[in-house]
Amino acid sequence: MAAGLPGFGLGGLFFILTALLAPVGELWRTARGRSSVAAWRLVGRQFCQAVAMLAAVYLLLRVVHRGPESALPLTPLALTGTLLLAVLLGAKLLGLAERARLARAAARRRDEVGRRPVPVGERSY
Amino acid sequence: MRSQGEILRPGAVGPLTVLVPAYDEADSIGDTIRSLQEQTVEPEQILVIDDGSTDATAEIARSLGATVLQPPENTGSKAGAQSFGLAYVETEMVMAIDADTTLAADAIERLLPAFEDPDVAAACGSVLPRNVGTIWERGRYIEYLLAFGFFKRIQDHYGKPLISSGCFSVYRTAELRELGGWSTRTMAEDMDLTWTIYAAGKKVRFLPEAVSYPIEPHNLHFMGKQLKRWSHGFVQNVRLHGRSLLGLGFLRSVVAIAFWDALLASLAYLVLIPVLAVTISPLVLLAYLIDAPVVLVPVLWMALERREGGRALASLPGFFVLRIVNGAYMLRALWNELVRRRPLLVYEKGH
Repeated sequence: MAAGLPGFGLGGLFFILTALLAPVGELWRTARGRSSVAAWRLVGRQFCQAVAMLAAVYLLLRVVHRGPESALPLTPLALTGTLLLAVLLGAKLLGLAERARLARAAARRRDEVGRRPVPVGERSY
Repeated sequence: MRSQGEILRPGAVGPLTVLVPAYDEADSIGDTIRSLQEQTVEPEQILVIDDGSTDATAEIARSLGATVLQPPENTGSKAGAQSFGLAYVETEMVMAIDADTTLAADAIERLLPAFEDPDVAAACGSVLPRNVGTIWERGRYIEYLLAFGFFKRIQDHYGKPLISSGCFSVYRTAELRELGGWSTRTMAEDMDLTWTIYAAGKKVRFLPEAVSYPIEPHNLHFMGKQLKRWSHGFVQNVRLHGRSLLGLGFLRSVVAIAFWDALLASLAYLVLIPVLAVTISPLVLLAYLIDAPVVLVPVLWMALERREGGRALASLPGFFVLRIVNGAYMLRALWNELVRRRPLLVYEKGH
């Protein structure tokens, strides 16, 4: 099955960015001896696709915006980028909140175990 | 260590049983079984779970040498039939394949190297429609070229493919049993199982060279059934696994983006663009195609690798039609599942 809606809104931008960043991660893996030629082939393929997609966006904006001024209409891109950042940040904050909740719950459990009277037969000296 | 393009070392993983859940699949199950028997790495056993078919599914499967299992009554879903079959599996590995899906001759051989990593619990390959004729099949063809040519490869690079596809995936039998098999609690058992595997600390891999060919819905009636199941299944899984996903960095981001994209893009396609087209200018309708050049890059890339460039170009319009219909189903699922609190509970078979 597929999830969500295919195309190049938030998801598209996110995957283009992650494809552009992938060589950095692969360099790190290479330095630690955990990479391979096949991995670099994949990273290179996705990186080239991402660059080609960015070129397509650039050409599209050039075609759509053929006004006298030379600047590209960056508002839609900035809007999508801001939205993407907000979603990622929101998810990250929720993740941190969940981690804190789990830590509190674990601490409470430890406290309860510490306060529980130990049966005579289980005491150790 | 990536295993793209690797070939299985003899004896690297144990024998494999294939589970084929089937309900009234007489037209397609023969092709599925034959394609399994023609694999370069042949499965030890093919178990067809005939889930109360009213046609000749069981007879055809038996005549081709498959073992047919019949639950005492219809289990009500693909997941139910698969879990019924799982109890009969005696091999180290188990594969799930839909009864309308065929495989490239080397698909299993290409997929099994993923399990040389002992932490991998599931692996899946690429999916492409077997028939590409109607506008719906063409839309799905482009959707899959985009997903399996670009999105899923990146997900795998970051160690978190979003879904191990239900139509063709291989699992370690012991771990699958430990996780409870395929659950019927959502309409998307493959997504549910994949996220359950991640929550258990295990890995899932995507190997693009292992290719499967399911029959996709050929008309709006069947496409609607499938989209309804998938959209509700997605929302149900986000609700079910939300908390456990929060601890899984990359997957958390992918799911959050997929969720908000599904909501916002659907609203844009179905509300914003039509309203702006009426109030400002009909030219606003071109916004439906605004990302066409960007979509074309990964789609044509994979299509040209497969020498299917012409077919991909001819299929592109179907993608935009399918996306709008998909948006309508997604909005309805979000509304029913999250606002009205009326979850979809009945599994309606489409494809």
